[in-house]
Amino acid sequence: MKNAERKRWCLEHAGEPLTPEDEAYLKEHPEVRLEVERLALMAKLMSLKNHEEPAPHLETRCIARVQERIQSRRERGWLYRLEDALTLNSAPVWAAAAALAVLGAGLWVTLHTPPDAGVAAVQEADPGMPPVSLAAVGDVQPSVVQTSPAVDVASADREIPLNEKPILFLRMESNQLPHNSDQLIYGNGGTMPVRFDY
Amino acid sequence: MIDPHPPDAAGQAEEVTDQELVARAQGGDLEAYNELIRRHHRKIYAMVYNMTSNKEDAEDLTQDIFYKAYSVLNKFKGDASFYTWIYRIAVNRTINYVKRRNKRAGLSLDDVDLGIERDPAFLELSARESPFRECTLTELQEKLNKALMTLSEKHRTVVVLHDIQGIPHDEIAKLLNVSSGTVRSRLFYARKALQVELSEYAP
Repeated sequence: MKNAERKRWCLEHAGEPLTPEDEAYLKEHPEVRLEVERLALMAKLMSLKNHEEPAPHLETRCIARVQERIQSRRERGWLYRLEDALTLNSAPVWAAAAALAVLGAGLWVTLHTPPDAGVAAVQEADPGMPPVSLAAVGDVQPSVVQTSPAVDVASADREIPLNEKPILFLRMESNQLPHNSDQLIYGNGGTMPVRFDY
Repeated sequence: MIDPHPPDAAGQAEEVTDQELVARAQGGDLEAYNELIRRHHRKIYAMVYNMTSNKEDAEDLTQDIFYKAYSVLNKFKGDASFYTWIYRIAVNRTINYVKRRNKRAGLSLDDVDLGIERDPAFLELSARESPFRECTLTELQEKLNKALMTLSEKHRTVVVLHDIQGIPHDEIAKLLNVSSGTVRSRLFYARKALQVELSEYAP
Protein backbone atom coordinates (compact mmCIF):
# COMPACT_ATOMS: atom_id res chain seq x y z
CA MET A 1 0.00 0.00 0.00
CA LYS A 2 1.36 3.40 -0.99
CA ASN A 3 1.72 6.11 1.63
CA ALA A 4 -1.23 8.11 0.29
CA GLU A 5 -3.41 5.01 0.37
CA ARG A 6 -2.18 4.11 3.85
CA LYS A 7 -2.99 7.60 5.06
CA ARG A 8 -6.51 7.47 3.65
CA TRP A 9 -6.97 3.98 5.09
CA CYS A 10 -5.95 5.15 8.56
CA LEU A 11 -8.20 8.22 8.38
CA GLU A 12 -11.18 6.12 7.30
CA HIS A 13 -10.49 3.65 10.12
CA ALA A 14 -10.12 6.30 12.83
CA GLY A 15 -11.21 4.95 16.18
CA GLU A 16 -10.87 1.34 15.05
CA PRO A 17 -8.05 -1.09 15.90
CA LEU A 18 -5.16 -0.56 13.47
CA THR A 19 -2.79 -3.16 12.02
CA PRO A 20 0.93 -3.18 12.97
CA GLU A 21 1.67 -1.75 9.51
CA ASP A 22 -0.71 1.13 10.16
CA GLU A 23 0.84 1.74 13.56
CA ALA A 24 4.30 1.81 12.00
CA TYR A 25 3.10 4.28 9.40
CA LEU A 26 1.53 6.54 12.02
CA LYS A 27 4.71 6.44 14.07
CA GLU A 28 6.56 7.81 11.08
CA HIS A 29 3.85 10.35 10.33
CA PRO A 30 2.78 12.02 13.59
CA GLU A 31 0.73 14.64 11.73
CA VAL A 32 -1.47 11.87 10.31
CA ARG A 33 -1.75 10.27 13.75
CA LEU A 34 -3.00 13.59 15.13
CA GLU A 35 -5.57 13.81 12.36
CA VAL A 36 -6.71 10.24 13.03
CA GLU A 37 -7.05 11.01 16.74
CA ARG A 38 -9.12 14.11 16.03
CA LEU A 39 -11.47 12.17 13.82
CA ALA A 40 -11.81 9.47 16.47
CA LEU A 41 -12.61 12.21 18.97
CA MET A 42 -15.50 13.38 16.80
CA ALA A 43 -16.90 9.85 16.85
CA LYS A 44 -16.64 9.78 20.64
CA LEU A 45 -18.31 13.16 20.99
CA MET A 46 -21.17 12.04 18.79
CA SER A 47 -21.58 8.81 20.73
CA LEU A 48 -22.56 10.96 23.73
CA LYS A 49 -25.82 11.74 21.97
CA ASN A 50 -26.92 8.28 23.01
CA HIS A 51 -27.65 9.74 26.42
CA GLU A 52 -30.54 11.82 25.20
CA GLU A 53 -33.70 10.30 26.60
CA PRO A 54 -37.15 10.40 24.97
CA ALA A 55 -40.10 11.64 26.96
CA PRO A 56 -41.57 8.94 29.24
CA HIS A 57 -44.95 8.99 27.51
CA LEU A 58 -43.43 8.08 24.14
CA GLU A 59 -44.40 4.40 24.24
CA THR A 60 -47.99 4.98 25.34
CA ARG A 61 -48.58 7.76 22.88
CA CYS A 62 -46.97 5.93 20.00
CA ILE A 63 -49.09 2.81 20.58
CA ALA A 64 -52.27 4.85 21.00
CA ARG A 65 -51.75 6.82 17.81
CA VAL A 66 -50.82 3.80 15.71
CA GLN A 67 -53.86 1.93 17.08
CA GLU A 68 -56.12 4.85 16.28
CA ARG A 69 -54.93 4.99 12.67
CA ILE A 70 -55.24 1.24 12.23
CA GLN A 71 -58.81 1.30 13.57
CA SER A 72 -59.75 4.16 11.24
CA ARG A 73 -58.25 2.24 8.37
CA ARG A 74 -60.35 -0.82 9.19
CA GLU A 75 -63.53 1.22 9.52
CA ARG A 76 -63.08 3.20 6.33
CA GLY A 77 -62.00 0.27 4.20
CA TRP A 78 -60.84 0.88 0.67
CA LEU A 79 -61.24 4.65 0.82
CA TYR A 80 -58.79 4.85 3.68
CA ARG A 81 -56.39 2.54 1.89
CA LEU A 82 -56.51 4.78 -1.16
CA GLU A 83 -55.83 7.80 1.00
CA ASP A 84 -52.97 5.88 2.61
CA ALA A 85 -51.51 5.00 -0.72
CA LEU A 86 -51.57 8.61 -1.79
CA THR A 87 -50.17 10.01 1.42
CA LEU A 88 -47.60 7.34 2.22
CA ASN A 89 -45.45 8.18 -0.76
CA SER A 90 -45.96 4.88 -2.47
CA ALA A 91 -43.96 4.96 -5.70
CA PRO A 92 -46.07 2.35 -7.56
CA VAL A 93 -49.23 4.32 -6.86
CA TRP A 94 -47.73 7.50 -8.25
CA ALA A 95 -46.41 5.59 -11.24
CA ALA A 96 -49.89 4.20 -11.92
CA ALA A 97 -51.42 7.67 -11.57
CA ALA A 98 -48.88 9.07 -14.02
CA ALA A 99 -49.61 6.26 -16.50
CA LEU A 100 -53.35 6.99 -16.24
CA ALA A 101 -52.75 10.66 -16.86
CA VAL A 102 -50.69 9.89 -19.98
CA LEU A 103 -53.37 7.48 -21.21
CA GLY A 104 -56.08 10.10 -20.64
CA ALA A 105 -54.08 12.76 -22.46
CA GLY A 106 -53.51 10.38 -25.38
CA LEU A 107 -57.22 9.63 -25.58
CA TRP A 108 -58.10 13.32 -25.52
CA VAL A 109 -55.66 14.09 -28.32
CA THR A 110 -57.04 11.22 -30.41
CA LEU A 111 -60.62 12.40 -29.99
CA HIS A 112 -59.75 16.00 -30.80
CA THR A 113 -57.56 15.39 -33.84
CA PRO A 114 -59.09 17.05 -36.98
CA PRO A 115 -59.98 14.64 -39.80
CA ASP A 116 -57.39 16.03 -42.22
CA ALA A 117 -54.53 15.49 -39.81
CA GLY A 118 -53.50 12.50 -41.89
CA VAL A 119 -52.60 14.85 -44.72
CA ALA A 120 -50.22 16.62 -42.43
CA ALA A 121 -48.78 13.24 -41.56
CA VAL A 122 -48.19 12.54 -45.25
CA GLN A 123 -46.59 15.93 -45.58
CA GLU A 124 -44.28 15.17 -42.69
CA ALA A 125 -43.37 11.88 -44.30
CA ASP A 126 -42.11 13.78 -47.33
CA PRO A 127 -39.68 16.40 -46.00
CA GLY A 128 -39.11 17.92 -49.43
CA MET A 129 -42.73 18.93 -49.79
CA PRO A 130 -43.79 22.47 -48.81
CA PRO A 131 -46.83 23.04 -46.61
CA VAL A 132 -50.08 22.20 -48.36
CA SER A 133 -53.71 22.93 -47.78
CA LEU A 134 -56.85 21.18 -48.85
CA ALA A 135 -58.57 24.51 -49.35
CA ALA A 136 -57.25 24.81 -52.93
CA VAL A 137 -58.25 21.43 -54.20
CA GLY A 138 -60.44 23.15 -56.77
CA ASP A 139 -57.34 24.03 -58.79
CA VAL A 140 -56.57 20.47 -59.66
CA GLN A 141 -55.38 19.99 -63.23
CA PRO A 142 -56.35 16.64 -64.69
CA SER A 143 -53.19 16.30 -66.77
CA VAL A 144 -51.15 16.26 -63.73
CA VAL A 145 -53.40 13.61 -62.32
CA GLN A 146 -52.57 11.43 -65.26
CA THR A 147 -48.83 11.95 -65.12
CA SER A 148 -48.41 12.00 -61.44
CA PRO A 149 -46.65 8.91 -60.24
CA ALA A 150 -48.59 6.54 -58.07
CA VAL A 151 -47.16 7.82 -54.88
CA ASP A 152 -48.85 9.24 -51.85
CA VAL A 153 -48.76 12.90 -52.72
CA ALA A 154 -48.22 14.86 -55.88
CA SER A 155 -48.67 18.49 -56.80
CA ALA A 156 -50.69 19.87 -59.69
CA ASP A 157 -48.08 22.36 -60.79
CA ARG A 158 -44.58 22.17 -59.47
CA GLU A 159 -43.71 25.63 -60.84
CA ILE A 160 -46.00 27.32 -58.36
CA PRO A 161 -44.76 27.17 -54.81
CA LEU A 162 -47.20 24.99 -52.96
CA ASN A 163 -47.21 27.19 -49.93
CA GLU A 164 -48.69 29.93 -52.09
CA LYS A 165 -51.15 27.93 -54.12
CA PRO A 166 -51.22 24.56 -52.67
CA ILE A 167 -52.98 21.67 -54.27
CA LEU A 168 -52.94 18.32 -52.75
CA PHE A 169 -53.33 15.36 -55.03
CA LEU A 170 -53.90 11.88 -53.85
CA ARG A 171 -53.80 9.24 -56.51
CA MET A 172 -53.63 5.55 -55.85
CA GLU A 173 -54.58 2.90 -58.35
CA SER A 174 -55.74 0.67 -55.60
CA ASN A 175 -58.16 3.23 -54.27
CA GLN A 176 -61.47 1.47 -54.58
CA LEU A 177 -63.48 3.75 -52.38
CA PRO A 178 -65.97 6.35 -53.57
CA HIS A 179 -64.83 9.95 -53.27
CA ASN A 180 -67.02 10.67 -50.32
CA SER A 181 -65.04 8.26 -48.19
CA ASP A 182 -62.92 9.65 -45.40
CA GLN A 183 -60.34 6.92 -45.84
CA LEU A 184 -57.93 6.41 -48.68
CA ILE A 185 -56.72 2.87 -49.32
CA TYR A 186 -53.41 2.52 -51.06
CA GLY A 187 -50.65 0.00 -51.71
CA ASN A 188 -51.17 -3.27 -49.95
CA GLY A 189 -54.13 -2.19 -47.90
CA GLY A 190 -52.60 0.90 -46.24
CA THR A 191 -55.07 3.63 -45.30
CA MET A 192 -54.91 7.28 -44.43
CA PRO A 193 -57.58 9.81 -43.48
CA VAL A 194 -58.53 12.04 -46.36
CA ARG A 195 -61.15 14.61 -47.31
CA PHE A 196 -62.41 15.10 -50.84
CA ASP A 197 -63.65 18.58 -51.65
CA TYR A 198 -65.21 19.31 -55.08
CA MET B 1 -28.18 -8.20 11.25
CA ILE B 2 -28.42 -4.65 12.55
CA ASP B 3 -29.15 -5.49 16.12
CA PRO B 4 -30.92 -8.80 16.65
CA HIS B 5 -31.51 -8.11 20.31
CA PRO B 6 -32.22 -4.45 20.81
CA PRO B 7 -32.60 -3.39 24.44
CA ASP B 8 -36.40 -3.54 24.47
CA ALA B 9 -36.50 -7.10 23.22
CA ALA B 10 -34.05 -8.36 25.85
CA GLY B 11 -35.70 -10.44 28.50
CA GLN B 12 -38.84 -10.96 26.44
CA ALA B 13 -37.16 -12.91 23.67
CA GLU B 14 -37.71 -16.20 25.45
CA GLU B 15 -41.43 -15.56 25.93
CA VAL B 16 -42.64 -14.76 22.44
CA THR B 17 -40.35 -14.14 19.50
CA ASP B 18 -40.76 -11.23 17.11
CA GLN B 19 -41.50 -13.76 14.40
CA GLU B 20 -44.48 -15.15 16.33
CA LEU B 21 -45.74 -11.66 17.09
CA VAL B 22 -45.49 -10.71 13.43
CA ALA B 23 -47.45 -13.83 12.42
CA ARG B 24 -50.17 -12.94 14.92
CA ALA B 25 -50.23 -9.31 13.81
CA GLN B 26 -50.51 -10.39 10.19
CA GLY B 27 -53.58 -12.33 11.26
CA GLY B 28 -55.14 -9.16 12.69
CA ASP B 29 -53.99 -9.35 16.32
CA LEU B 30 -53.43 -5.71 17.22
CA GLU B 31 -52.10 -6.52 20.69
CA ALA B 32 -49.29 -8.51 19.09
CA TYR B 33 -48.38 -5.48 17.02
CA ASN B 34 -48.46 -3.28 20.12
CA GLU B 35 -45.90 -5.59 21.67
CA LEU B 36 -43.67 -5.16 18.63
CA ILE B 37 -43.97 -1.39 19.03
CA ARG B 38 -43.04 -1.68 22.72
CA ARG B 39 -39.95 -3.68 21.85
CA HIS B 40 -38.57 -1.54 19.08
CA HIS B 41 -39.88 1.99 19.34
CA ARG B 42 -37.00 3.39 21.37
CA LYS B 43 -34.28 2.46 18.91
CA ILE B 44 -36.36 3.66 15.97
CA TYR B 45 -37.19 6.89 17.78
CA ALA B 46 -33.53 7.46 18.65
CA MET B 47 -32.49 7.14 15.02
CA VAL B 48 -35.24 9.51 13.86
CA TYR B 49 -34.53 11.97 16.67
CA ASN B 50 -30.82 12.09 15.88
CA MET B 51 -31.55 12.65 12.21
CA THR B 52 -34.01 15.47 12.89
CA SER B 53 -32.84 16.93 16.22
CA ASN B 54 -36.46 17.68 16.91
CA LYS B 55 -38.40 15.58 19.40
CA GLU B 56 -41.88 16.47 18.10
CA ASP B 57 -40.91 15.54 14.56
CA ALA B 58 -39.25 12.38 15.81
CA GLU B 59 -42.34 11.32 17.74
CA ASP B 60 -44.67 11.95 14.78
CA LEU B 61 -42.37 10.16 12.41
CA THR B 62 -41.90 7.19 14.74
CA GLN B 63 -45.62 6.54 14.99
CA ASP B 64 -45.93 7.08 11.23
CA ILE B 65 -43.20 4.48 10.62
CA PHE B 66 -44.98 1.89 12.77
CA TYR B 67 -48.26 2.63 11.05
CA LYS B 68 -46.69 2.38 7.62
CA ALA B 69 -45.02 -0.90 8.61
CA TYR B 70 -48.38 -2.25 9.75
CA SER B 71 -50.03 -1.30 6.47
CA VAL B 72 -47.46 -3.35 4.54
CA LEU B 73 -46.96 -6.06 7.15
CA ASN B 74 -48.33 -8.72 4.83
CA LYS B 75 -45.34 -8.10 2.56
CA PHE B 76 -42.95 -9.05 5.37
CA LYS B 77 -41.77 -12.57 4.50
CA GLY B 78 -39.31 -13.07 7.34
CA ASP B 79 -36.14 -13.04 5.19
CA ALA B 80 -34.62 -10.66 7.71
CA SER B 81 -35.64 -10.02 11.32
CA PHE B 82 -38.63 -7.79 11.92
CA TYR B 83 -36.31 -5.27 13.52
CA THR B 84 -34.03 -5.11 10.48
CA TRP B 85 -37.07 -4.81 8.24
CA ILE B 86 -38.71 -1.98 10.14
CA TYR B 87 -35.39 -0.25 10.68
CA ARG B 88 -34.91 -0.13 6.92
CA ILE B 89 -38.38 1.40 6.52
CA ALA B 90 -37.53 3.89 9.25
CA VAL B 91 -34.23 4.95 7.69
CA ASN B 92 -35.79 5.45 4.25
CA ARG B 93 -38.75 7.40 5.56
CA THR B 94 -36.57 9.54 7.77
CA ILE B 95 -34.18 10.38 4.94
CA ASN B 96 -37.14 11.34 2.75
CA TYR B 97 -38.55 13.45 5.54
CA VAL B 98 -35.26 15.23 6.17
CA LYS B 99 -34.90 15.99 2.45
CA ARG B 100 -38.34 17.57 2.33
CA ARG B 101 -38.26 19.38 5.63
CA ASN B 102 -37.69 23.06 5.91
CA LYS B 103 -34.05 23.58 6.80
CA ARG B 104 -34.98 26.30 9.24
CA ALA B 105 -36.78 23.84 11.51
CA GLY B 106 -35.45 24.52 14.98
CA LEU B 107 -33.90 22.21 17.52
CA SER B 108 -36.20 20.70 20.10
CA LEU B 109 -34.15 18.39 22.25
CA ASP B 110 -34.76 15.54 24.61
CA ASP B 111 -33.30 15.57 28.11
CA VAL B 112 -29.86 14.13 28.67
CA ASP B 113 -29.75 11.25 31.15
CA LEU B 114 -27.33 11.35 34.06
CA GLY B 115 -25.54 8.25 32.80
CA ILE B 116 -23.57 10.48 30.45
CA GLU B 117 -21.27 11.49 33.30
CA ARG B 118 -20.14 7.89 33.69
CA ASP B 119 -19.68 7.32 29.97
CA PRO B 120 -15.99 6.47 29.24
CA ALA B 121 -16.02 8.84 26.25
CA PHE B 122 -17.33 11.65 28.48
CA LEU B 123 -14.71 10.94 31.14
CA GLU B 124 -11.93 10.90 28.55
CA LEU B 125 -13.09 14.15 26.99
CA SER B 126 -13.48 15.79 30.41
CA ALA B 127 -9.89 14.91 31.27
CA ARG B 128 -8.58 16.93 28.34
CA GLU B 129 -7.55 20.52 28.45
CA SER B 130 -10.43 21.90 26.43
CA PRO B 131 -13.60 23.95 26.90
CA PHE B 132 -15.37 20.60 27.19
CA ARG B 133 -14.60 20.61 30.92
CA GLU B 134 -16.35 23.89 31.51
CA CYS B 135 -19.45 23.57 29.40
CA THR B 136 -22.70 22.36 30.84
CA LEU B 137 -24.44 19.24 29.56
CA THR B 138 -27.15 21.37 27.97
CA GLU B 139 -24.57 23.46 26.13
CA LEU B 140 -22.77 20.34 24.97
CA GLN B 141 -26.01 18.78 23.79
CA GLU B 142 -26.98 21.88 21.84
CA LYS B 143 -23.58 22.15 20.21
CA LEU B 144 -23.56 18.50 19.19
CA ASN B 145 -27.03 18.74 17.70
CA LYS B 146 -26.31 21.98 15.89
CA ALA B 147 -23.11 20.52 14.48
CA LEU B 148 -24.95 17.42 13.33
CA MET B 149 -27.59 19.51 11.61
CA THR B 150 -24.96 21.33 9.56
CA LEU B 151 -24.11 18.06 7.81
CA SER B 152 -25.68 17.03 4.55
CA GLU B 153 -28.38 14.38 4.83
CA LYS B 154 -25.99 11.70 3.52
CA HIS B 155 -23.24 12.56 5.97
CA ARG B 156 -25.62 12.93 8.88
CA THR B 157 -27.12 9.53 8.16
CA VAL B 158 -23.81 7.69 8.44
CA VAL B 159 -22.83 9.56 11.59
CA VAL B 160 -26.17 8.76 13.21
CA LEU B 161 -26.12 5.13 12.19
CA HIS B 162 -22.46 4.47 12.96
CA ASP B 163 -21.17 6.86 15.59
CA ILE B 164 -24.41 7.24 17.54
CA GLN B 165 -26.31 4.02 16.96
CA GLY B 166 -23.24 1.80 16.62
CA ILE B 167 -24.33 -0.02 13.46
CA PRO B 168 -21.36 -1.65 11.62
CA HIS B 169 -20.24 -0.26 8.27
CA ASP B 170 -21.38 -3.26 6.23
CA GLU B 171 -24.88 -3.13 7.74
CA ILE B 172 -25.14 0.56 6.99
CA ALA B 173 -24.01 -0.19 3.45
CA LYS B 174 -26.89 -2.67 3.05
CA LEU B 175 -29.39 -0.24 4.54
CA LEU B 176 -28.36 2.56 2.23
CA ASN B 177 -27.66 0.40 -0.84
CA VAL B 178 -24.10 1.63 -1.15
CA SER B 179 -20.69 -0.02 -0.69
CA SER B 180 -18.88 -0.25 2.64
CA GLY B 181 -16.17 1.93 1.12
CA THR B 182 -18.72 4.63 0.42
CA VAL B 183 -19.95 4.46 4.00
CA ARG B 184 -16.38 4.85 5.29
CA SER B 185 -15.69 7.67 2.90
CA ARG B 186 -18.86 9.55 3.89
CA LEU B 187 -18.04 9.01 7.54
CA PHE B 188 -14.56 10.44 7.03
CA TYR B 189 -15.87 13.59 5.35
CA ALA B 190 -18.66 13.93 7.89
CA ARG B 191 -16.20 13.79 10.78
CA LYS B 192 -13.96 16.30 9.04
CA ALA B 193 -16.92 18.66 8.76
CA LEU B 194 -17.83 18.08 12.39
CA GLN B 195 -14.27 18.93 13.35
CA VAL B 196 -14.79 22.41 11.94
CA GLU B 197 -18.05 22.85 13.83
CA LEU B 198 -16.69 21.43 17.07
CA SER B 199 -13.13 22.69 16.82
CA GLU B 200 -13.18 24.04 20.35
CA TYR B 201 -13.42 20.48 21.68
CA ALA B 202 -10.69 19.06 19.46
CA PRO B 203 -8.00 21.72 19.12
